[in-house]
Amino acid sequence: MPLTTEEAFRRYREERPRIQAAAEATGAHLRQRTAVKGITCQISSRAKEVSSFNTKAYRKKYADPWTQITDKAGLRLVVPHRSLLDPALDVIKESLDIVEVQDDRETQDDEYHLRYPRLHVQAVMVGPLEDPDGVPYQCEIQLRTEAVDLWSRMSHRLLYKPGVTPPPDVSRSLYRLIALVELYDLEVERGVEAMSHHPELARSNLILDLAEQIYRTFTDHPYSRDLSRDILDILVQTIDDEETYGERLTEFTERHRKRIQQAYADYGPTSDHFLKHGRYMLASQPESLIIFERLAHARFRLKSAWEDQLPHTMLTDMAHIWGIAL
Amino acid sequence: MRSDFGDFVVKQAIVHVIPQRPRGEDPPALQLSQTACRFDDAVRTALQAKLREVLDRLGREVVEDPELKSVLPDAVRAYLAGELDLVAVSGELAHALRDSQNGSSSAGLLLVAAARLDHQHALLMVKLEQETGMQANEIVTDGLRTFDVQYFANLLFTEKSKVYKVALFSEEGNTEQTLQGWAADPQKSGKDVARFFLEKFLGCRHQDHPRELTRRFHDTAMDWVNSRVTDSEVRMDYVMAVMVELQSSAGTLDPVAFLETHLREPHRDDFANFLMENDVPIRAFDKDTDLVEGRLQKVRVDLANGAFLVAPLEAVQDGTVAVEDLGDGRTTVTVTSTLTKTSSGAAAGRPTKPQDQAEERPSQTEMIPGLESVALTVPARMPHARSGDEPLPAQT
Repeated sequence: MPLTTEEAFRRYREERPRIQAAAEATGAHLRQRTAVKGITCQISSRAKEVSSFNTKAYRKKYADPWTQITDKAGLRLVVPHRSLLDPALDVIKESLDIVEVQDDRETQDDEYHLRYPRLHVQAVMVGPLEDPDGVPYQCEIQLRTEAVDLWSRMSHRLLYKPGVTPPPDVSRSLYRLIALVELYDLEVERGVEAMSHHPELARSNLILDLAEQIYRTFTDHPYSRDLSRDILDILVQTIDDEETYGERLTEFTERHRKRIQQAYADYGPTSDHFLKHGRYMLASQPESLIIFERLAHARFRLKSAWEDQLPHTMLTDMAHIWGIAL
Repeated sequence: MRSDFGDFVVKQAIVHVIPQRPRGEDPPALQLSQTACRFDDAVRTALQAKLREVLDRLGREVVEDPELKSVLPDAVRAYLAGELDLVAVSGELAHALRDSQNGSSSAGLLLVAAARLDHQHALLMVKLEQETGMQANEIVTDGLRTFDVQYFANLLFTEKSKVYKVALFSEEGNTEQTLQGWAADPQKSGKDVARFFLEKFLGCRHQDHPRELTRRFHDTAMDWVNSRVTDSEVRMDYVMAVMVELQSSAGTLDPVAFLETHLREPHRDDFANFLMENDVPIRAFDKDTDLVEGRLQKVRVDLANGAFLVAPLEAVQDGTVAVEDLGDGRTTVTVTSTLTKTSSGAAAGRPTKPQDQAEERPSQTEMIPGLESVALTVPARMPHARSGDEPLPAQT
């Protein structure tokens, strides 16, 4: 027997904290999985606001609002360029039980329209949480490029006012912007493709992007990109095969995840060492992961590359954290 | 063999004063601390980082020696078994340290810490001395910028400090038969651990005898050269370096100093890993060449065509025996000297053993007629080796 709108609202109010927890766990799971695959992306999660649930239930006049409101939990996965959408979709398919995929990117006979390139996945969230009927909680996952995300957030604010139809000229101008979004994404994709033919230019950036992606699974604390570039210039000298290094770094991080987590807690961006004394500076930078990996597997090569190029203390501080002497 | 101490975690610590023992008098009474120290997370993690480094750099494996009759092993065992708490065990250790010191031992502090190593209970003890130092704080006085400089005489664990000795025991090393752990003495630069600390206080001895460690270093280094380096000239350089290092008058052998001095950069990590995989420490240990003495006088080179050469070390050093890698898998060995004797060579003419049979090496005093007149250009087969300049897998 379907719940009434009022019953669904009350249930949602009670269940929301559990749904929020499941959404966060699913976000963390996907962050880890995309990092393992070396896919640069930002993942956010939320449980629908109680007021939004209520408004939607009344506005849409659902017969079974509890079941039909499928975005009670929502995740958003944003990639820097279009060619990462499919790999990210593959990761989601491998990591979660999929209920439905809505992919409007390449709809046929649609060459005369400009519209939001929907790529949504309905999936069962990770963890043991179920609703009171024993149904596992689901979430809606939106996959977007950064440009599409920018457009979507802005258009959502302007176009989707409950009970208000936007003026036609506003709608037209917003949908016209989709053409720019398409152009932007195409140009970024072209640039990425061109850079792949000049690995010497892309090398540091690729490795840093990967390190940052993994680092973000530990902390959201801001870091200095300029410092990262200086350090990366040295670190890449100690890496022979950057093609396989991503996999190596990912495996290393997963093998030592707890230890690295503790290292960041003790010496990283929120520690007194960093905040009050300015020591262990690199433990607050994403390249710290590469330094730990190199210390574990190529300490003498790292030491040799570091000498006379960067302050010795920066490296010895990291070595002390990792528990080795140089 | 441990590759690092990154899983060493300090949880709580207590400090006791250990006064100097006046010469010819009974040991003074101790005024023990009654509870654990107060320190914040910055102190705890700084201490932890410092000790991780010193244990990796200087920590030497030690094992209980019942004949030394120290109370420490039983106290540590009782703590690890949960029969004594930190305050109680530290009091016993403070008395043991006081009693083990003689009149020449300086006054100091004993820090005992409840710790974890690889998620197992561990007990750390550090004998340390207070140091002096200054602190400068920028101030403005009478509107003028300057520094307020103060003198301190109670500093501990300063950046370059060496005035402490460390020991660490964990549940992993606590077996029914014996207690094993690590000891480090920065004052001795890793060459040894002060005897009063190791034997009288800890009741331990080094786990490996220097003779055995030196032999293992020699054998492992030779295995590494022959299995991981292809370039003939580099191989010869490395073999010579090992032999010269072992023959030097230095009383200790420091593998890290060795590899940083003698090995090319792409080979260093692989060599260090190879040593550790074969239970040879990469940190300094006492050198004792008793077991390899007979193998340090001459160099032997074997070639794929069955020829081999045994030469005095000096002949390689002065260049009268030279090895040249031809870059195509072949090697030229050149011997330049005065011919003293020629003969049938029957003694040296043993057929080469198949690879799956143990190699029978001639004794170092064996005569090899005709050797001094030989100049060879033959392919040197080294099927499992890599090029000398080729990066090794461990460096990827």
